[in-house]
Amino acid sequence: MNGNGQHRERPLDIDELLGRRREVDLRALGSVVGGSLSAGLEVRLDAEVDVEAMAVGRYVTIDAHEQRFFGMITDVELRTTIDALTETPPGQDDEFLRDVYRGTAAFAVLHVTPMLRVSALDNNAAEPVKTVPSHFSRVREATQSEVERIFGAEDPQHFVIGTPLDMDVKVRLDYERFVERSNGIFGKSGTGKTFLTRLVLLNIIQKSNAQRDPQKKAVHLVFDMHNEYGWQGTYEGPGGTVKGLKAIAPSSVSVMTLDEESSRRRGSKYDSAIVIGCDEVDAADIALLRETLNLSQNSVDACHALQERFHERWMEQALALTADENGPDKELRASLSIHPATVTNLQRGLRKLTRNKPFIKERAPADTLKLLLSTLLNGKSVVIEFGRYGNDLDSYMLVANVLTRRIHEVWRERKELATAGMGEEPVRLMITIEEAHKFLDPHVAGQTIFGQIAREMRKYNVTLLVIDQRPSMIEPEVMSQLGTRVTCLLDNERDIDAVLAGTSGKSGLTDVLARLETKQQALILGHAVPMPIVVRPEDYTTYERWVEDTLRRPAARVSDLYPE
Amino acid sequence: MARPPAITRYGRVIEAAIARFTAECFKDVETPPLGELIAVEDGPETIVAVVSSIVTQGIDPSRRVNAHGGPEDDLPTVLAAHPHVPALLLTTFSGSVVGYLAPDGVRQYLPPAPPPIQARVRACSDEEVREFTGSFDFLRLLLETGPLADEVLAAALRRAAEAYGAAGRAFLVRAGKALSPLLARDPVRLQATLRRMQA
Repeated sequence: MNGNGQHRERPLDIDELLGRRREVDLRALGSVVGGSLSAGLEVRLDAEVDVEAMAVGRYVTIDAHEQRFFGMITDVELRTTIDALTETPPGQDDEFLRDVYRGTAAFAVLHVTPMLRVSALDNNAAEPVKTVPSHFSRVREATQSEVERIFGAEDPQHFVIGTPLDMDVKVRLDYERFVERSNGIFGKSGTGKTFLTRLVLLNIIQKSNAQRDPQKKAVHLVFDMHNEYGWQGTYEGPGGTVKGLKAIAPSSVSVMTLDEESSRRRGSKYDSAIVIGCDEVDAADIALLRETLNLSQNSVDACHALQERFHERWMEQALALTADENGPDKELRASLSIHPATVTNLQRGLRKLTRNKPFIKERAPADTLKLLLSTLLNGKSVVIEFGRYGNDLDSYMLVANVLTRRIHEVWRERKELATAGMGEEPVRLMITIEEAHKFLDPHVAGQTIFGQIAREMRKYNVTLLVIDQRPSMIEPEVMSQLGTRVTCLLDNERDIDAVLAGTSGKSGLTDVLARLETKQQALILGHAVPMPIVVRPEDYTTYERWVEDTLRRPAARVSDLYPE
Repeated sequence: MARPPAITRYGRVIEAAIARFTAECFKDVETPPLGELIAVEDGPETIVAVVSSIVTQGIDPSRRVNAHGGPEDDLPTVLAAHPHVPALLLTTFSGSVVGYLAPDGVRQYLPPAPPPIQARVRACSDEEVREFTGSFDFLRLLLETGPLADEVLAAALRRAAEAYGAAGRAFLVRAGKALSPLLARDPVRLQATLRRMQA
């Protein structure tokens, strides 16, 4: 099935035509004996099939009467028909009895969540299941070509994300479907989120470059908290470092830094420095940082009052206020109903925010934001390195919020003009934020620009790629708007619930998700894949090489050299 | 245990019912062992049965066989002193019918008619044993044969396993798997039978 639900011509397969690669390995597993669409199917394993060879997350094909179903093994259960066996099992030395009982009186049941069905009459159309296969339908392991047909289309529209467990095929995501909505990458710390993100970002850059239609191109804005994506990133493998986006695709990526000193020290090749002016900071930005800056609600109210009065110079004014009861600002304070104690609290907070932060200046040089905007609008992705300030959540949130708000404004303006027929649509922008729950938790999601972007979806061509380890702390409404969710191992129940919220077959996927390996395995579900799948992500180093080759391949057509 | 290639004939049918027949052993021919798979020749179908009981008694039912010799005399001594004794004895065996061999294959249910009286009873060849035990529907018939059904069934499967040579154990496991649903309601009986099946 492709993105529009239309039938796709299946590519001609020479091997199949010649009768080679016949599916010898149509390994039977068992028969459907019960279950339901919502709770999943029960499949009794054939006596001769070894239960130990089963694995949750693996695909099965159910050959039913007139159609074929695809499902995923979500649980494996041992059962017995003879209750007495559970009380007096055969002894350790009674191998004969164990052999006899195994598979008959004591047998295994697979729990299979049906995901897709293909009509036997029309081989191409796969659609979500709306019913279950009939009783005793035969269940077998899905073959490589079946999985390939579902996930595999090799075309400019799809990019490889990894390989399924125990299979030698590629799982591909639908580029267009991926970029048109906000997406999430989740997983406990150390499970490979960064690795996956880098892979996804690179893929999108590569696919975007391959698009002929400018409306289909996409750029990234990455708020790179731990300096992982720009020039060079860490890698828990041989060598310890991998090339960042800029190093692989220098013509498509620009790196901006908040911390030139750190960037220089790390040998990162950055293009420019980012400076934020106090006059660019909004009262709402401060409200977002209320907790980390330890501000009272009164202080936040004061910010808003000050901004109303002094507009962009409000912060300057706030820092200049005197807390003296009968001081010169008495009248001003009274008119804004700011209590002297509030002034102290507010000033302490604001000073904490600006202290030792060379990238926050009183007035921003006009070119920082302009450069950022023009780079993005010209179709070049931007990675903003935070250097040492990445560990400082205040800075990260402030910068991300301030820049994103401005960018969003511009995008909205352009999009609205384009809708009115007065200009071109802005290129699709995907904003990557880490520790996303800080921006999107239920208390602040209503106030931050990120909450807004997540909710309004692709309306203004701006979407989010949220990276987080605590998805349960993200507002449920925002979670529900995420199109595609890529998730590595999660072991907190609430996090698992949050990621799977709204997915059909959730109970089964819960088990799959909790049993992912700690590294190098991810469950992908949602908009960009036809059905949930567990993959091993591509090996980054080989992938790196491949992308480099593709990006540097000489343009085949003149139009490639001179994109509109 | 390899059987001789020649056909072993054990006796003739002297009493026949649809599910069970009795045959009298030929003189000077060995008695079939318990559980042996036997076939009735000379009928419209080759009826297949399992030896389920063996009886030796005096020829004349009105005369009891007397005990000879004293407490110290062993069997050869007694037979040497009374050589006529074997001649006064008669051995019969019963076969529980488990199916028949139709021209186009094995049937594991009762034949349309009992075997004819005087028909000859022979041992099944290894090949026939393997062919007949290719499926296990006959186990249910064997379980219905009376108080010693489990013994007979276990003996039959042990004997049949011999026809499989090295694959005998695998055969017994298959048989056990087929048996377990039949006796699922009586796990003690199942377990006891399974234990007896092991050669």
